[in-house]
Amino acid sequence: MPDILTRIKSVVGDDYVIDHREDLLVYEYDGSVDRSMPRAVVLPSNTDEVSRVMALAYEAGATVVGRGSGTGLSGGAITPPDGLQIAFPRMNRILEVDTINRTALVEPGVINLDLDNHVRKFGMRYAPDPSSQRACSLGGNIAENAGGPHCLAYGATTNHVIGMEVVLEDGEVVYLGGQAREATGYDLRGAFVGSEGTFGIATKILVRLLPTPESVRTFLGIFPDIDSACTAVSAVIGYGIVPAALEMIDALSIKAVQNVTDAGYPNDAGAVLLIELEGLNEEVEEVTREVESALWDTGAADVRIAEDDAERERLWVGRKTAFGAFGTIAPNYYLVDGVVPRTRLTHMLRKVAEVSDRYGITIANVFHAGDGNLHPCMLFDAREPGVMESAMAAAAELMEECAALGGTLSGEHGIGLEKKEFMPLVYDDNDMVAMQRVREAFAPKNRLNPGKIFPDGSYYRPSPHPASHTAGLYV
Amino acid sequence: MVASAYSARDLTAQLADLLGAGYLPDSGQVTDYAIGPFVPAVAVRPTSIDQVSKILAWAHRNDFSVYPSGGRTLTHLGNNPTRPGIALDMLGLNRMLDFQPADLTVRAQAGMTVAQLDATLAQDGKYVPLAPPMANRATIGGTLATGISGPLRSTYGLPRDWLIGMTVVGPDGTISKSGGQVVKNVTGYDLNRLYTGSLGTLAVIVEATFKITPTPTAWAAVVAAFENNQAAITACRDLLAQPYTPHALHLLNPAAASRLEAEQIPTGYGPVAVAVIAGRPASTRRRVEDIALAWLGAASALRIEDDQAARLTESLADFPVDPERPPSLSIRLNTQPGALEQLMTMESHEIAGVGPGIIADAGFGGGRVMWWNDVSQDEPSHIAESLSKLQAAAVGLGGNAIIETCPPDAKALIDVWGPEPPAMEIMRRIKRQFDPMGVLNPGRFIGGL
Repeated sequence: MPDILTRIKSVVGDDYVIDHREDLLVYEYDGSVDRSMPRAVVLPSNTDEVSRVMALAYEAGATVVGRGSGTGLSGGAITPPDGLQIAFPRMNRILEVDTINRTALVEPGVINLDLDNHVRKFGMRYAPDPSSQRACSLGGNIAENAGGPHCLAYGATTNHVIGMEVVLEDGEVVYLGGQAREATGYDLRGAFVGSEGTFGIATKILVRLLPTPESVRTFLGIFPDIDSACTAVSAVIGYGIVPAALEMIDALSIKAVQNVTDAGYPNDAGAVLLIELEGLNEEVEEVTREVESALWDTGAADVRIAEDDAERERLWVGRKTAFGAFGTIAPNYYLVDGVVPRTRLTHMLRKVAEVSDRYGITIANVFHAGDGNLHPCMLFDAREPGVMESAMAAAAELMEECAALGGTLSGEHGIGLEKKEFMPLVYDDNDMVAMQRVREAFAPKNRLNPGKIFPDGSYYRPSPHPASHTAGLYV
Repeated sequence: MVASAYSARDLTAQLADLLGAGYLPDSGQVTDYAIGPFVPAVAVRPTSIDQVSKILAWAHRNDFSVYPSGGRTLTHLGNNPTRPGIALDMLGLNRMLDFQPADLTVRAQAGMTVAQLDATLAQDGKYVPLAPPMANRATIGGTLATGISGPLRSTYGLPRDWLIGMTVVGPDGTISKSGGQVVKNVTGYDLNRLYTGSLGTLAVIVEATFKITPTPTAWAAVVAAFENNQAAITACRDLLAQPYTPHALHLLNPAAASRLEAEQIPTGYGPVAVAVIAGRPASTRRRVEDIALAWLGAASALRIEDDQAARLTESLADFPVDPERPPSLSIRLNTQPGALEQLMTMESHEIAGVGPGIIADAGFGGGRVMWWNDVSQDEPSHIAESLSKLQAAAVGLGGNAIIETCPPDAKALIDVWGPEPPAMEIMRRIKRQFDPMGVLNPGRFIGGL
């Protein structure tokens, strides 16, 4: 019988199987700290090819890992050395936009921002906007249940997916969810989104679109320190306002951003809040007064409102490229994605500062303050002996603190490899057994992205790659 | 010992032994827990998670099935049960556990009614926009287990979109949790969504945590009657094309409009559209003016403000199970908003010589087709055949149709959930993984799960 790669080549064509070492280099890592070179990468062009490739892999007992754009931050696309990676640059078509039903049918390789830009021509938007939206794909967004600043008001990816065509580990093609928002039977669609590639591979995705708002207003609240900015977050929420987005950027991050682009953040601020309101003109006008008083009352040094689209865009470019800009401060990074109840933000950020001091590691904070989703990012030079281990230990302490405050390990990046040993901080054995039951139902042989999410004591820390791709890290 | 070998008296004695006598409702009340023609052997009302766990472990050991019961507003949902068993009345678990207004989260026991939950949240100007039918009786657990949603679903989404954490008890008594207490969470698989809408066939929901939102401070509605369906549908589409659609937009055919418990509904003209706005004062005013303007061509139109508009929304929520005038037959269609025309033309579908009332959710898609006449005058096989046709029509439109209220003899001839979906095999595997013995609600869910 011919070798599995030969058989896969006969399905997708020789040009679309990558198996030379030098060509595989870019597929051995994603946005996380881990790397591992897959045996081969397959680039199918349609569902049928995905199904046949998966069936061949299944027959050969091979592990399969799906890959979107490789922007993931938890090692979701890292493939074991004997495993096959399936990537979707050729399945990147927007198949249909339905203006009556406000939906779009897309292939998994469609880039998040491309979809949003396309549907805006029809007066609609795709709401989830991970900071990597210029690069990340819808397939990857589904696997990780991706978030983004505007998830505060509109919910994460799962709130926007109506149905999916999915290929299971044995190559079977099934449809989960429906065309209508409610399907019958168990919500398999809901279980699949965020399953980190362990249940199947989505090959067509039906997403929900929202009308574009009549009015958008973006505020920059400038604060002398992090404590007062945290108090302001609570004050805004306490007013009964749930803005479209509510982001915090600390002093170190402001410095990093201003190193690479003038986003309009003041260099001497202790922290800034980026707040966006959306709605009818009257609605935005009503809420503006409350946001302003919440910010002034909690000690803002200044409150600015973006005067036009260009200024708003500049404020957001600063936010969304912040992590790339950290390359100007240190060559390596490691970040935590923990969530705490919003009222515990002040406490948690003090803890971050204390951990930073104690370990002697620089930590920058750019995060989704409105929903309590932190992104403390440790910045270091991995060539210094022992520093990687210190960063890991510091991250562990931060995750422990999030859990102790009633929070969780990950708000939007997923568990993947690097957080899996921490799962017992938030879930006991019974909780994880229940989760594994669902995986057993979708993928009884556990051939898809095995070794992720659940603790098995197997995780070792491979040597990190440098954060040289400054445009390649987004959170 | 197998289930059938127990007498009700043995069971009562055993359960009293397990829990103490106070946790068993009086023996005469067991018929209150009937599910269609099925009457459970005994009913039990635990007051703690530990007791729920004990009951399930006992049932599991003794090969009994368990039928969880909440406010009993939607007990008619689902196929008839297939195994003898006990009713698990959850109304004893009704405590508020943790309300954090500043975090916009709340955790409560599953037997609390949605109205009780809302009353507590209202003290701080907050609510969870679930709005199930009969919120004063419907429990949190029942609302989640059925996945039932209210008239504002096109704006606020479904119950699953507000749920952030759960504690459940599995069919062998194992207690587990999913999600957590924070509003954003991708840690582990999303079992919250799997349990929501699973009709209690995988686990018994004992606690739930929700994110919450500020209560609207202004309500308004526009109610308008149109010459015919085409005019009404065009009027609805005009609103949906605006940058901000109403919080609820429903279209009722004349038969449905005349049954809605709301004095402001104009009857005798034609189909009636109801647009509801709930928000802040200035934007609510602007929206309602926009709608009134867009609907100037209506045969009759009426603007409703504040409390009256809020009450009208409640009437819309209660409509499918209104105890004052319950339908004898009701089918819920889940279809896309684009299928509004096809949904409204289902009024030609007569049963026992009478056409149905139809209420369509023009914003979200789907709706309900209902009969109030004595449908049992028709042959059960004919009723089943008619309903199958409607189910097939819904599937043909890319959706599905669930029979909610139906005479038991007709129900016995049909799967109320309609044709099996393409991923039915995965659903069967999930059921086998979670409940291999068929302890929880056996036979009631799709495909006999």
